[in-house]
Amino acid sequence: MPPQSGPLLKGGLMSRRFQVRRSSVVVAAFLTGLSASLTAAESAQDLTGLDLTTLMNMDVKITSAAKRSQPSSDAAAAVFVLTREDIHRSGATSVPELLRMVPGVEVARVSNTRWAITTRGFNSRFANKLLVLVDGRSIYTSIYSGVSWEEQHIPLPEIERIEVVRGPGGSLWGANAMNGVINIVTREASDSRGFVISGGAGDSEHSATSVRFGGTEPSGGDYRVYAEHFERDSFTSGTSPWRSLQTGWRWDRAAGPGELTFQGDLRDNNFGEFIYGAQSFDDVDVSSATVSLGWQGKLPGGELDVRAGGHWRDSRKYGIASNEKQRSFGLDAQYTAARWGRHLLSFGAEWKQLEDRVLGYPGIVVFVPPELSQKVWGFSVQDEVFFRDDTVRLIFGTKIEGFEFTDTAVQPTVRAIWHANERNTLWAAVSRAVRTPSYFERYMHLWLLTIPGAPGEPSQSVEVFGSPQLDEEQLDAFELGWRWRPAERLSIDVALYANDYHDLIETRAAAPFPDPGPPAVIVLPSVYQNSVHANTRGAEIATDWIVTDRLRLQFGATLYDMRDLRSPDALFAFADVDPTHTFTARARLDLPRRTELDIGWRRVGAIRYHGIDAYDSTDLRFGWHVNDELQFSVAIDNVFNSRHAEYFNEESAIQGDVFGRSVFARISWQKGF
Amino acid sequence: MLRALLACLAALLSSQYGAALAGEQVVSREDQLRAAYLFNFMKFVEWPPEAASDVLTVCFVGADAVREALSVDLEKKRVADRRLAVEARAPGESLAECNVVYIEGHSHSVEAGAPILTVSDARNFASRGGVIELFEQGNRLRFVVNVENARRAGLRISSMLLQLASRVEGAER
Repeated sequence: MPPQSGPLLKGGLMSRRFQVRRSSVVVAAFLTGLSASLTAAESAQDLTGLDLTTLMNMDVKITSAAKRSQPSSDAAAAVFVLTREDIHRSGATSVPELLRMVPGVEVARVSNTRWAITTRGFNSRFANKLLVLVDGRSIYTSIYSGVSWEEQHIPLPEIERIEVVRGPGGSLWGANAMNGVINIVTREASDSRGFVISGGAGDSEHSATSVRFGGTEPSGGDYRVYAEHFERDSFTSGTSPWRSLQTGWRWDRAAGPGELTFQGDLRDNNFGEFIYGAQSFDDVDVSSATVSLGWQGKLPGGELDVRAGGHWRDSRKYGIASNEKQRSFGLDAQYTAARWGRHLLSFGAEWKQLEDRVLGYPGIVVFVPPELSQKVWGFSVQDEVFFRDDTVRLIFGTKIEGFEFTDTAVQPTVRAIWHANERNTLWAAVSRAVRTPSYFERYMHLWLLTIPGAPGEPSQSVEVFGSPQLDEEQLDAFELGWRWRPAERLSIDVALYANDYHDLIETRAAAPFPDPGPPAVIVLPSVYQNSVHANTRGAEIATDWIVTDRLRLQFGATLYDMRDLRSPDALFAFADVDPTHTFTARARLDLPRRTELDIGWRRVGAIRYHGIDAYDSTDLRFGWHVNDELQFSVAIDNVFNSRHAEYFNEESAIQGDVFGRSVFARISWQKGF
Repeated sequence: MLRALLACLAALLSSQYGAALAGEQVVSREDQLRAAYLFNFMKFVEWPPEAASDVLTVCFVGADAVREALSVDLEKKRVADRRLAVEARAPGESLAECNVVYIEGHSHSVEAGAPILTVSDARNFASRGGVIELFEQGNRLRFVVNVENARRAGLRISSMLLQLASRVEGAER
């Protein structure tokens, strides 16, 4: 199905530089927590054993924790960060594969192109409770509510880190950050000087090629440009493989007391699949462009981050839409005042305009109206109050957002964090978050199936109707967390939550009515309504142990439980669409002669509603830095070839693809200057 | 047997917690990095014969945290077979016996000429008589080398280090 809109720039909340520089609460929430995985690394107090080239690639401040006694160092939220090193060592070729490493994130591959990704439950190809940002810009689509991962390929070498916050982030990021927020932060142009070319080939990912060039231009600004192409197997026989081509740039330059950033990407994707709307196999074509301009810097009394951005996207024959056209434009500002006594205050404001146009297939699915323009505005404020030599912090924040078609949403949070001692930190939070109804849920009319009538009787037609009066889904979330460092090189991060959802949007049966046709039928309508109440609870544990300088072990566990109080006439279910448990383990080994070995393992529990069995998968990666310029790696996914499906294919209403072993080898050459 | 095991465990735990509780200063990542850079710089520098000795004396004017970071396992550290000695100096104090001086900010002016590798994070340190200036850029530590100031101090700096420098100042054109 369709995909993404591209709203804009969630308040420059977290461009990388900024994060490291300012102790803003807003940012703090994210960065701060660079928690578990990093505290351990950081605890290795003596870095003098490392050579200069290694040192030159190390971040000065990985957490605000490293910034002396800044208590905003630890987030009062469940945070996990994938670093460049994690990405390099993963063997992954896409962001969804990387996210498999993050405890608490549910990742299921539906088909060669599609992924179902969420956190804290409600997974689906159309998972709609996880907000995803790239450099602060939302890639969550207003059309079906969710993220089209297949359209969001981000070249992995351009990524500086991926920050994952589980739990509601509505008080900072607004609507749809209900169960979590993922922010993908790309590298600054000054970090990617030089020339890199890389190529790879494999059995399911046929080929991948990328080039990048970065440098300093005469006016003193740094820039980089890249282009990337890949071709992947379509597991459905007789359809075209997935071909993706994209290019982009980033330019950073000092401007006044801050820095100006101008970046953008152009993408084109083609792949063959079963097109539900057309009821035939055909090629999907999606292309999009994104441009943004931002400035961030110090002002008297605080720091300011402003951005403007635009997004254009067009698709043809994508799922149930024969044509989509999306345009969006947004402005965003975030101001963080310097600390004043006990208080650290920050304010945000945003405005965006979304234009969506969706055409369906008459007789199968239509959208009424097919075109919609809407404006969204928002204000946020947060106060972080410090007590007891800054070892205790209380955080109060809220965001107020106005939408044209639903009620104004207020999303408050109250958080507390206590650094009990060097080795123990406890935090707790109570928050409210909302999700806005999608274009589909409001305006879709879908002819699902026809039940032939008895002789002389009209047929019955099961049809799904969107409902323009829908309001937001609401969540009240309660969270507890504990970060424990029992030893210098061992860290354990535990998060517990209980979520109470109401007004969840689901279809309910309505009274049948006759449609005079022709042909005359009795319509059995199912109408989207704010009707479901559900409770979930769960636990997430992340452990990081640096056993020796050459061996690092990471373990993760995710436990999940849901009570779904839906009515029996709902068409779909929320319960049992997620595994009740997932376990992960990774070993990262540095071998002699600049070689490295990585072993990953995961066990994902059964998904009962879709009849998906539990499965295990073991992944291997071997890397060799032949010299400073040349690198070689081989990654084997699912080494033991345990063939398994990971999710149901909701778009084609068939079981998802079955995956076995796959191999991908890559070689890359770089020249710095 | 069990008692012995428990005793071992207790000893292990107490040694680990002990260090933390003994008020060991937590050195920031930034300062650990500075110390690591400083240590690496020494490996690329050749001192004049008159400054040769078994021990390389590293003096710090301010920058206590960097000094502390460098002092971890000091007895195990070697620079070309020379052991390290770390000393603190007050601003204005003589730096005569020092082979390396790390200066915090502008707390001490440098007299050119003595065979001392001078390193600082002070702005424009390299153009004001210093040999190596550390600075932060894009959340990474970078450095500038002034080869003219190194030459005056009688130090030879390896071209490998110059290649890694963001800028080399004082080079003959």
